[in-house]
Amino acid sequence: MYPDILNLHGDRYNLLSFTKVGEDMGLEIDIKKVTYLSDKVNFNEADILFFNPGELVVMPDIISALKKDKAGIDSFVKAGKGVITIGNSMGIVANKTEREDSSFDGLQYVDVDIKEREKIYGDDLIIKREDIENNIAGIQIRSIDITRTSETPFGNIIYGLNNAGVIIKSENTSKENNGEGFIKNNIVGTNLLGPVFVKNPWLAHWYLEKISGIRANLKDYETELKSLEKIREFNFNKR
Amino acid sequence: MFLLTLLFGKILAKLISIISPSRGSNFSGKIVIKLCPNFLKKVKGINRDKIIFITGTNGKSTSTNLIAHAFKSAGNKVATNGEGANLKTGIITTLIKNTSLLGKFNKEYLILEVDERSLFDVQSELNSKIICITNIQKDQVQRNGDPDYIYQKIKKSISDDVFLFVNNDEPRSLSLKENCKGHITYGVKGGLITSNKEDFFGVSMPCPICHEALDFDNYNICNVGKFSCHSCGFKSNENPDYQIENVDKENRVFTINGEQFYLKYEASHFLYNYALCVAVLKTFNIDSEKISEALKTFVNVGGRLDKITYKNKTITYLRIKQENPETLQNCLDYIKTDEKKKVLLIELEKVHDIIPEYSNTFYAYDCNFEILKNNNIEKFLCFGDEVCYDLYNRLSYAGIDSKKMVVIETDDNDLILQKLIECDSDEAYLVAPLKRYDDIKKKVGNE
Repeated sequence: MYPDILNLHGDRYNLLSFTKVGEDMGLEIDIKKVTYLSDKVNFNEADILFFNPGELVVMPDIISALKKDKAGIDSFVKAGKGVITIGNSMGIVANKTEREDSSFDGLQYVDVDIKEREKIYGDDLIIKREDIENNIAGIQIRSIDITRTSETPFGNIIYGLNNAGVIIKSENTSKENNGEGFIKNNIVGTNLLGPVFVKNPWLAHWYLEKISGIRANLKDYETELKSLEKIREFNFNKR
Repeated sequence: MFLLTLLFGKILAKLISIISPSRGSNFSGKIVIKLCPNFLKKVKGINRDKIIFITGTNGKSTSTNLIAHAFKSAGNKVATNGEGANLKTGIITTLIKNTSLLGKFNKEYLILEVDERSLFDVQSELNSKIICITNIQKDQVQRNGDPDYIYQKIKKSISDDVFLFVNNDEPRSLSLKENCKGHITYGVKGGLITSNKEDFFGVSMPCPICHEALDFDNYNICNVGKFSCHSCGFKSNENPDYQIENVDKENRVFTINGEQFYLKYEASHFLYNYALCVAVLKTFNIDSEKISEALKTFVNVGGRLDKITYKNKTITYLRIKQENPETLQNCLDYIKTDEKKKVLLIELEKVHDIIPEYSNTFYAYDCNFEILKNNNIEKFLCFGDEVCYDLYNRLSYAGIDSKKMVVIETDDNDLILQKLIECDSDEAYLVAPLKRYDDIKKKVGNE
C-alpha cells in the first residue's frame, strides 16, 4: 500500500520476499500496487494489505485515503484477511497516535495507543514466537512507543526495546514485559523495520501459511540462517 | 570575558595543532563553548551578506570546499571549516582561528558547512543571510529517524530575511523556497545523466507539500531529478536559474546558461556540487573564467575516488557513508559506467557511530544493485564480520550470479586482499566506509 509514500527503510523488498517464499511454497503471489492516495482500492481483490513504515507526518493522509472506502476496508478486516503494519504505520490501525504538538485517530481495528517518542532510538531487534522455529531479527528505528494495549504482543523480545520503550536483553525474560508489537486475528503490528521478511524468510512462510491455509515445508534458507546467527552473536556481545 | 576566552581558545588551538593535529578542528571550540556559550554572537566585523551556510544531507562538505576554494581562487579572503567540523563547536574553532586578538573577524567571507541538526542554533547566533541547501534525504536514521525530522529542523532555521540556494531537482529542498526572502534554483538537466530505477518495485517519495506520491520523469541521483505532484501541482522548475545543460566528458566541459566551465569530476552527484558553486559565485559577480579555473584546480578531499595500487591490482576507492543510500547508489552508478573487467570489494559494516552499535544494512535495499548484474564484474567480494551474509543476500535479490559472489567473513585486511589477489582482474573497486579504506591504504603503503 502506497509504497512511494511509505518509503523509509528499503522495505519494498519485503514484497519480493513474499514472492520468493511463496514460490518456494508452491503459491502464486500476485502483488498489486496502490500508488496514489487518490487511487480507488479494490479490497475484494486482496488477501493481505501491506503497509511499510513511513514518516509520521504522512499518516493522517493515509488514514483519510483509506476512510474514503471505510466499508470496504472494514469488510476486509472483518473477513480475517491480513494486514501488516510496520513502525509508524501501526498508527493506521491503532486507536490514536499522539504527536508532540498534535494527534490523529487511526482506523481503530486494534486496541493500541501510540505516542511519539521525544528521542529517536535505533537498535537491533530480535524476537521469538512460539509457532516459528527460528528467531526473527531486524532493526528498529523507534519514533513511537505503544503506551497501552490490550492486544497480544506479536512476539517476545530477546534483544531490543519493548513496546513501552525499555531495553530487553535476555532469552528468558518474563512475558509481562518483553512484548513487541501486537497481533489480533491476522492484523500484525511490529517495529521490525527494513527488509525483515527478506532477512527472515521463515516469517514470510509463517504468514503466508496463516493467510492461505496451505501448509508447506520450510525450505533450507542457509544464508539467512547464517546471518541470523551472526546478528544474535553480535547483539549478545556488543557494547 | 569574551576576549579572554578568545585568547584562551587561540592558545588551545595552537597547542592542539602541535600535540594532536587530528583533533584540531573541534577541540578548542568544545572548551570555549563552555566558557562563553554565545561566542559566535560576540565576534565583531562579520558581514552578514558574506556569510554563506551550506547544509543538507549529502554533498555539503564537497560543496563547501569547492565554493570556498573558488572564492579564494578569485582573490578573496575566506574563512571556512573545510576540515568538516560542521557542529557549533567546530564553527567556533573556525572563528577562533580567523579572529584577531581584539575579537574582529579578519577575513572577508565566512563560508561554513553546517550540520542540519545544528543549523538553528548556529543561525540564531550568526544570522547568515545566505543558506545553500544541497538535499534533504535519508541519512543516519539512528539519529534522524526520517527525512521529515531534518526537513523540519532546516525549515525552522529559515527566516524571511534569508536568501536560499535550493536544489531544483530535490523536492524537499525546493519546497523550502516558499519560506524565505528570495531564492535561486540550481540543478542538472533531466535525461543528461539519468539512471532509471523504475521497475515494479521502484519507489519515489511523498510530496513535501501534500504527501501524495511524487512522480519522477527521470533520476539524476536517487530521488533527485525532474519531478511533479499530480495532486497539488508542486514540481521542479522547467528552467532553473542555474542548470547544467551539457556535459562533454571528452572535452572536459559542462555548460550553464550558455557558458562553459571546466569538468574535472564527472560523477552525477558532483555535477550538483558544480551547479551550486557556479550559482553562488555568479551571484557574487565572480567572473566565469575565474570560476572555471577554480573548478580545474580544485582537488576533492581525500578518500573519495582515490586510487591505490596493491601488487598488480589498481584499487579505486568509492566512499560510502553508513545508513545513507544515496552515497551507496552514487558508487554503484559510477561503477556501472566502467565497462572494464574488474572486482568489486564491498563492505557495509555494522553501524558504530553512536551507542548502541547495530547491524543496519537496510539502506542497501534502497539502492539499485541490479545495474551491476551485467557489468563485467568478475567477482563480488562481500567482506566484513557481522553483516557480510546480509550483503550477500541483498546481492542475491538483485539477481547477481551466486558463482560470482564470495563471502569473506572477516575484518582482517590481509585475508581480504589475499582474496583480491586470487582474482584475474587488474582493476578493482573498493566500496566501504572511509575507515576501511584508510586501513587498507596504510597496509598497502607499508608493504
